[in-house]
Amino acid sequence: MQVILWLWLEKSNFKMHILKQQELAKKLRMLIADISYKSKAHHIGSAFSCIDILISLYSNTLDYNLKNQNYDKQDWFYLSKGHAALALYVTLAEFGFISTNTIYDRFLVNGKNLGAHPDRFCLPGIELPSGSLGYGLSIGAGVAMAHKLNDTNHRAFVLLGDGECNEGTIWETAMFANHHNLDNLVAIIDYNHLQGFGRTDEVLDLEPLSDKFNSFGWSVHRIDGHDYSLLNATFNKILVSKKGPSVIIAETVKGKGYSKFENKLSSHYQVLNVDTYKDMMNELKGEIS
Amino acid sequence: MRNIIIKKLIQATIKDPDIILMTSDLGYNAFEPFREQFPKQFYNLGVSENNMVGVGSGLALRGKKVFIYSILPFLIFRCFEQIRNIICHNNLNVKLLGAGGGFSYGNQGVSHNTTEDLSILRSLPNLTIFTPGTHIETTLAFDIMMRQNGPGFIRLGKVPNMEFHPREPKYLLGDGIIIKDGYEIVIFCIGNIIEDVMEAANKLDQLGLNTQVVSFITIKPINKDYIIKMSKSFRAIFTVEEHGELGGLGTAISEILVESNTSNTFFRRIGVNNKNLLEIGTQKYLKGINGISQQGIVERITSYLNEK
Repeated sequence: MQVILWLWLEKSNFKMHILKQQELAKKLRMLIADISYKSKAHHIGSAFSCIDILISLYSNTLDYNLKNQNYDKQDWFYLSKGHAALALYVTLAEFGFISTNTIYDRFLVNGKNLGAHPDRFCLPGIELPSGSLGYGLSIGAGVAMAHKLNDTNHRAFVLLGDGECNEGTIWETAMFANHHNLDNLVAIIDYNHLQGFGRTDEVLDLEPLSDKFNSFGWSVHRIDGHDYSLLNATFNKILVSKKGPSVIIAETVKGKGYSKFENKLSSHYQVLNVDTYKDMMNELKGEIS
Repeated sequence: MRNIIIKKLIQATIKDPDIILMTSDLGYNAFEPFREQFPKQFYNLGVSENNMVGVGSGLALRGKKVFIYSILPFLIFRCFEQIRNIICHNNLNVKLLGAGGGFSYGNQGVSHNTTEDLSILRSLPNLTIFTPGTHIETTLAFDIMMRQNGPGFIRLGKVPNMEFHPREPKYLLGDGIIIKDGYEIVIFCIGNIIEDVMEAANKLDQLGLNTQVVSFITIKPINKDYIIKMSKSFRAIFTVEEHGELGGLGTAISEILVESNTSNTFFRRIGVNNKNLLEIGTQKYLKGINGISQQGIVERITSYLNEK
């Protein structure tokens, strides 16, 4: 088993060192802050909450090919919690899909195509729109199934919000994916415990969430969603241990990285004024050294 | 109609390993031959329409030709947002087979019958909406749908015992097909109401109103020029549909006529009133109380012409 893992690691894409990932996380949080300030965007808390997951995915996990538009031969990623679009845009820029300037030029600009929620083919690497919650996992199950039918080893990754798991379709797909043994389907839940209008345990409690997925036949991995060693290791573990569909319940902090936003519902909605922006940049910068 | 489609689908699937048929636990006594012949291309997803439409979209995104079947209101109304955001917005090659347009489900009640589907589906870009009425129209619709690479919807009713086309007609997408010649008034219709319309037209002929009947296999696209041209040859135009008057064929035709600025031809829609239906009954009964039976069509046309 270890030999297989080693061979796989050797063959796979460049694996980014954890320290480098952490530096990158700070850089991208600052980029999110800067773009959000300049374009008066909401959803900063959501973007900060899942940026570490995205970096781990794109630097460590996903098999993609920038030069090849044939997505059939690649892993599929779908940001089902579309309101964290900016986190995805800056990640795609960092990993070479587009330039960072593209985001500044197009994000929330009239007549351009980078909205607060992603649209189809708004950037290379984004095939479908998202923004309405609850059915990303079912599309991911379809892609995973197509990959199997087409005899490719590629997988489908879907990033869900915690509030999104209120939706019934998530649980229809949870049943379906296990029934059809979709071991190439991976759900990641950005579990920051805050949804649109309250705490998840107050609005509609998801717990016991691990048990729920377990009882639906999924392999469950509950980890700290900001810890790169755990994120990388868990993704790698999923790659080699094929046992039905997998879910990573990533315990995260909404607004992670800026103390005044952390665990605050308001970080979902607040637009940055100049003072908050400067304060945020200073705090994010300070962590780099 | 369902059996015609499944036969055609089996023929197509023999040559095409990418075809996939999905159902949400429906299709008893119809889909068994497909399931037996192509077990790996048939999926019964259980009673979960939303998941089915999502999975179908994912499969289509990766090159599969996906046919999704359910009872029409379950498929269209429950999954409408997914059809809008994912299937139509992305022009995915997903074909929606909605069983039981109009009052086809008879006394099964309000959950199964639908007279609102075309209103909302017409609003979606990229979607071709097929409304065949006879055996030949159904095969024609299927063949066109198979040639298209994009979303399609077929409203599946019951095929009348009689075939009104003597042979497969020459057909241009969006045009109507004349199934009865006439020179005084013309009735445009869609779907299996064709049978009542033909009976009504013969009755109107006897009453001295020589009536032409035109059937539309698609309600979208619909050929503007064809309708404007035809409107000029008659003294009155009527639309008849087993659907609400609000948003269906009648609305589509009236939009064209009003905007043409050239048509002064008298026009009235004949369909189902926009009110709750609180009675149950057979398809025939429900058509009767909604004024779209043979008798209702004749009465409404003659009375509209009298008030003219």
